[in-house]
Amino acid sequence: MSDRKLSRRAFLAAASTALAGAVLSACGGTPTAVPTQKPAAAPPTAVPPTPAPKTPVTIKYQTVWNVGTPNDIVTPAVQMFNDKFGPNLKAELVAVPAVEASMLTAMAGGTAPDVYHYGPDPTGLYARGVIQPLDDLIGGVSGFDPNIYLPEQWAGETWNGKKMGIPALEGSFLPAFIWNKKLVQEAGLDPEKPPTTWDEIRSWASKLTKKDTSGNIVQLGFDSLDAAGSLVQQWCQVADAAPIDQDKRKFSFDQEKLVKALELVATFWKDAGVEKVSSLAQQWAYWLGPANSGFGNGARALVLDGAWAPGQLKNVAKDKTWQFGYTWAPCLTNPGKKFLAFGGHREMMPKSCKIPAEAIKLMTYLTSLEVALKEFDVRGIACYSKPFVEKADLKRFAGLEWYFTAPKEASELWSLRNYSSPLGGQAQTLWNRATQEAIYGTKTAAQALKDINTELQKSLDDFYAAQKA
Amino acid sequence: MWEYLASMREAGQATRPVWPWRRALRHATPYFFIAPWVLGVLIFFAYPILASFYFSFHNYDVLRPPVWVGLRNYIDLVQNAYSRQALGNTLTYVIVAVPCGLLVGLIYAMLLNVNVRGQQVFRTLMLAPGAVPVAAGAAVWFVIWNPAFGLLNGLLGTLGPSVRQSWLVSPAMVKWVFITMQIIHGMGMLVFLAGLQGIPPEVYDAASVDGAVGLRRLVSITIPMLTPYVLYNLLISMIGAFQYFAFPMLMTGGGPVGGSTFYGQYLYDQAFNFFKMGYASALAWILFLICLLAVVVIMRSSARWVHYTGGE
Repeated sequence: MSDRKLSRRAFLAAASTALAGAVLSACGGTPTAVPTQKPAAAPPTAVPPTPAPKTPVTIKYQTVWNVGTPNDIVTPAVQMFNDKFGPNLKAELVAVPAVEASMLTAMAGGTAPDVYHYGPDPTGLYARGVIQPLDDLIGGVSGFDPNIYLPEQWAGETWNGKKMGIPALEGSFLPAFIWNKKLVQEAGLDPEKPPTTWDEIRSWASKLTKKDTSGNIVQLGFDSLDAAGSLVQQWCQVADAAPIDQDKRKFSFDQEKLVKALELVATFWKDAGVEKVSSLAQQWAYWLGPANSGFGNGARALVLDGAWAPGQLKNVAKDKTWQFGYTWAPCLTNPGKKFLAFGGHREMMPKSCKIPAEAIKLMTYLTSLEVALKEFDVRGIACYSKPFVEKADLKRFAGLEWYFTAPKEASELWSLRNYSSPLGGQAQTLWNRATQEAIYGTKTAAQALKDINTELQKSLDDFYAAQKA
Repeated sequence: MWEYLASMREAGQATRPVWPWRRALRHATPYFFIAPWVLGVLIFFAYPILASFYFSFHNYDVLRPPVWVGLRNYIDLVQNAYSRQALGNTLTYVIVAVPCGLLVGLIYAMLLNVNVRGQQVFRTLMLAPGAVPVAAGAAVWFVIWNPAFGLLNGLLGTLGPSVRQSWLVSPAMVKWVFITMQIIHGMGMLVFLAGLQGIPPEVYDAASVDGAVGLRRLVSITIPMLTPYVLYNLLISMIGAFQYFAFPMLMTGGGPVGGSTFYGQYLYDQAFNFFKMGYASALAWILFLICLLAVVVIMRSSARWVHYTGGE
């Protein structure tokens, strides 16, 4: 033992020093993978149009959708891009869907793809400065005209006056109030005279609800949480009330209009029996896309949904002879007001993208008429754009024309900007919570909204405090 | 080994000098062999654990630098009604599901220990569900517990419509559904079975000579000799129960009204849906402390009720 130069004690001392070094580096401050970012970071200088790269460039592209499904538009769109711009410039699809958890870790770890196609409210990402502003990049792309979109479509993709995302691959105005004409007729109602107020809808819902001998619902008139009804912004629009101020600093979920909207949501459940409606929801899926969609299978007779509905119903309707009616969703607090909101997806570029000039080509290509028409073939819908409206045969899907002509009649067109916040996902989750509390009666609608408003405001204050630091 | 090397050194010392660096290299060689494991522990365990402790005192959303907030995350945890509800659901689950689950696991093990024809078949059938993926299992349970068309209410309905229950759609009942699922599953069955098979038959023979049969053998021989296994299963099951996550996330999403929101899901939502990694880190550390406290209490008490064969 005495001959050893490196004793156990010495080794342990060295290991402890190494561990202390690891601790100090952990306490050292910013994670090295994430550059210090300020939301007002200067955008890159305008990039002139570049010729086709001489060395092959691959754009990594990740979508929020599942690829390989029958309604997959992303795979053919990527193929179309590769056919047009290849072989030196091609896009490669990341097979895993883009969800918040994986996006968060990818962006923090510097392994994000070059382009995201994303559906949920992206404002949280825009506000945190991890997405590349696009104004200068868009200016460098020949053949792309931002005016193909309405101002409301761009408004939702703008943060601090800069365009952060490009609307593409699904996006249209919603909601429409939709009814199954056959079921309505069977209930003794006039399918050509739809309700124009929420009280009338409630009356219809009551007459359209049928139960079996055990008291289980076999046909529900209206589930206020189905399809677009599951979205917090939907009820903000119905209530004609923005839940946050224009500066995005102060929430107001506890305002009277939203309390009324939440009470309305709960009323439909209570009218039919809360636990019975919940059981039905476990049996029949929400929205109109799934094969076991409640509305598509006649388990629900009325629904609020967007412009994808006609295309989806053509595929999933249990009875292909069924016809559906489309009209305005009533405004709860401003009777007679015709409103619509633009809701859709967008292409975003993380700041970690090293090939912005090439990536913007993919992003703008996905807004092209040829991709939109391909999407229309595949899904029965495409992102609203002026060229698409002119060229597409909107009569191909019954009811689709309503969605594309109604914006001209609407007295208000909402954009994502009206209700988005840097807390996006948290606002939706807490709204869901308040909805359940109101439905099950554990809190009044007013108390439920007051509580979530308090929590959201605290989170928002924390967000801006971190911003300052 | 060191003596051998020393003797070799002495033998060769007259003919060849031993350089100091070579001596040091020889002494350090074993440590090089364990270095990959040590580095792995430091990088993948120690560093993340210490980093989460650091971030628990900060407002941190992963995408921007952390901002010091002191103990505020810990205070928020106590003051927030939703976090208290999640913690309450989890503690209820741990306190009820773990002891009952262990009891059921012991019963299963005792049944599987009975020497009957087809014993291997029964053991295989009992162990096979453990190989089913969680998502598939959740889908099956979902069909069983559904109030409208589920198997369970279908059977109960034959006794009368009022016997049917709300199960997954009742805020008060939903967490008991998950507790029941875990109890039925049984905890630690395999370890108990190993323990039962480790009890020497001579002990039972000696007890028979003294007239001990049936329940007396169970209480005075089987259970005392299984106490080390009970301790192990209790600790492992309890730690796992504190982290219960998958089934409620898949089957109910934590609802209705947070009735099936357990601590793990609440933590996950804060971290990955709300970008509140600092708060989630505080949640994780509180869970660790609660778990640690429970483990310490159980270990301290084990001296009174755990009997090790061959002495303490």
